[in-house]
Amino acid sequence: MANILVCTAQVPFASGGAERHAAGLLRELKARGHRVDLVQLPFKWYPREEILLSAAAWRLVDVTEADGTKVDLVIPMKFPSYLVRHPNKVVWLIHQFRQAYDRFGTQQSDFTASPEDTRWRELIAEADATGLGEARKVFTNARNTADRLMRFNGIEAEALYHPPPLAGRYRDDGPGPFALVVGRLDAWKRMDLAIEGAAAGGFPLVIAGSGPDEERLRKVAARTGANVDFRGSVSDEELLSLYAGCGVVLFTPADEDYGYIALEAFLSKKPVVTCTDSGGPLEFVIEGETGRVTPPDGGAVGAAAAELLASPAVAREMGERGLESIRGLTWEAVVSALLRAGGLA
Amino acid sequence: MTAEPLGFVSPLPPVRSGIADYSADLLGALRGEIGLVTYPPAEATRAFSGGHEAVLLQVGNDPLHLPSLEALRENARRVPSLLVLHDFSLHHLFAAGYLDRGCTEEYARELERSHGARGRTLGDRARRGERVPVWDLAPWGWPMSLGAVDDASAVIVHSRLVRGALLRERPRVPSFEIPHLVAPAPAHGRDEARIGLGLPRDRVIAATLGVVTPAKRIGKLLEGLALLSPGRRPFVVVGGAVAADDPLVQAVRERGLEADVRFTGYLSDHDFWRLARAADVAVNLRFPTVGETSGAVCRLAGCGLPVVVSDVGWFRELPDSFASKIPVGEGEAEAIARDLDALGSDDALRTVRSAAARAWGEARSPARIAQAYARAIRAVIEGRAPSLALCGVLARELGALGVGRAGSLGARDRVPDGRLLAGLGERGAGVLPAPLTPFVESTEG
Repeated sequence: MANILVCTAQVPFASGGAERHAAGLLRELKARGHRVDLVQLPFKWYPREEILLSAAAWRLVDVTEADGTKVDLVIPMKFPSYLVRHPNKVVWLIHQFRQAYDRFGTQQSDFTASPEDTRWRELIAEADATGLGEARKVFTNARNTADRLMRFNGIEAEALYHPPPLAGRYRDDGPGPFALVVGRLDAWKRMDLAIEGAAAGGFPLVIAGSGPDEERLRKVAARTGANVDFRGSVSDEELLSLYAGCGVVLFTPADEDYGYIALEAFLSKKPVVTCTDSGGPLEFVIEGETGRVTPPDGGAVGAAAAELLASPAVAREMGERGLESIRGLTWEAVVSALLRAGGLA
Repeated sequence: MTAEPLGFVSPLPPVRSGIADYSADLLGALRGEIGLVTYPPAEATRAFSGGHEAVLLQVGNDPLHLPSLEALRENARRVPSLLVLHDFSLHHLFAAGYLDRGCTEEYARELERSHGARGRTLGDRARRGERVPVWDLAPWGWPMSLGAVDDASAVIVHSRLVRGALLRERPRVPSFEIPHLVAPAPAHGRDEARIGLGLPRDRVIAATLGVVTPAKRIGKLLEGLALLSPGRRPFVVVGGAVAADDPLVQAVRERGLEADVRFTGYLSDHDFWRLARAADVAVNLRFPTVGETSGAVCRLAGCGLPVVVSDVGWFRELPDSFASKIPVGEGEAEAIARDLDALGSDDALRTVRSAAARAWGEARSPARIAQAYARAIRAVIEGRAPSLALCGVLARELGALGVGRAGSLGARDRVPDGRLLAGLGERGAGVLPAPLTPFVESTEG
């Protein structure tokens, strides 16, 4: 039995994939008999200095021992929690502070090219180099995240995939008549592509999730005349039912890290329509095999989804192939890899 | 009778060492700030039992100082102590003081004290009789000074560079940066000095002073000089002992520089100052360095000489207003030639730089440096230094975040660094001690 701390940054009142990810790891480590706890510090990114003062806070926390008990391993998951100091640190990175990296120069980043902002980005990169450079090993949640780490920081990492939070409970009720979109309603999730697609393809669309982009998305739906059912946040049961009953899942974000959505769709034997620039989902969705990969365009997304809804047999076949493709993706493999890297297995 | 507050351990003249000279220059002024008794290194133990409120030890990388460090180790924490570290690396001190005397065990123990488990690994090899290449491995990585740093209540260093290294290695030990002092030069007239030394009165003179070693790279200076046409060359004086068959002498001949270079041989103190007065420019191309401060460059700048130095180590901390910093490596000789040419041909430039150098030296007068020492000593005596450890830890962690270091994007803006420091200061009010900076550059405000 090892004493393990999972470290992550927390935005108070917000909860999403990252939180479920950490909770899943905690649960699985405990299930294997380890003594585990979650260490969280709040993270705030404005004004700029808060980003690095949050990082400094992690540097100042001593997690080598707790009440006289030696901590054998720390597993930080999110910027800036991997700045924590520990002689046995294995990072499982969900994502860096992306506004300073790949999102720089897009609408998803408020960093400008000013000399001051350049320095802020530089300090973030320096902090990343320190925090990640100290780790015995860096895993990422997906290959896309690892590629970004190499591209921007020159740091080598290995992708370590994990199952979605409700693994074991997904089911298939057969191909249904509607397309499904799941996730937080953020602009960079580009759910407007799915809405425009539903309008172009003439099929009903269900959106499960809430977020700051909702008002804009409702306007897009009204403008295009799409048949969209905004369900808001849904319970686990309702989510499982929606996956089980839909005909296709649309997942069209801009450069997603990983995204449970494609995996959840496959576990429900449903094909996925994604885009050529969607990032993480492309590690799973293979054009014509387990779903469709289209240009990031509402018309193209709509056409691909409409075809699958009109051909339930094809959709089912793709969904089953999707499920087959992720069979080796288990928590057992994840926990073994993390403990091995930390010299505990 | 009550003992004086301070025991001051250092070699003093007539012992011939840079630290002896330094202490002699400092003591006159320091005595005006705080009562003290001096002890030679061999009597350092007596300083600790002398009833002083604190003991201050001047230490450099020379076995001469070994008794000081042994006394410090024996008395660690019993009497408040300040270790003045003139060199970050003390390897040669321990190698000569222990290894050369067959005291392998003591050497190995010091390696472990300074470098923990990795030091023990090397120490064990030393115990088995292997030659341990600590110095060759990486002088910055194996300074062997950290055991002594742990023993001291506080450490005084002369540069930001070494203080940064200390903060990285031992952030919890309070450290103060007090610049090397600049002693006022004895009065010599320029012409009188040139006549006395037999130097040309009608040429610009560039002097390079101090012991001639390969690290001083006089050959590179000659290479740069040779790139200038004979009419534009300054007259170079190498003030330090050079044997007649030294390759440098041959290099002068081969490059046709006989009329432009003079080797003076060993210089007495009197002649050092005369040459400093006679010269127009000082050159010191030392490389590599282990963060040491050049006492000679300090003295020469204090005499009002613009300096040409390598762009490395402590030299980087010299202001651009009087120091030309030559990047080491490709294009170095050309850069030296360019700077010598500019300084040799532009009287106005020399005048401006000379004034800046003199002002820099005046800010480091023994009186001002002694005041800074007194502030640091009082902080230790009054028990205010330990809380500085908090600042040390914060400084190290800010360094880990990149604050104060150049980053990968080549940003020149430093506003964010300042905002981070301010943010921490604001939040730390009530927890962090008030800033304690014994030396501030400007006498204003």
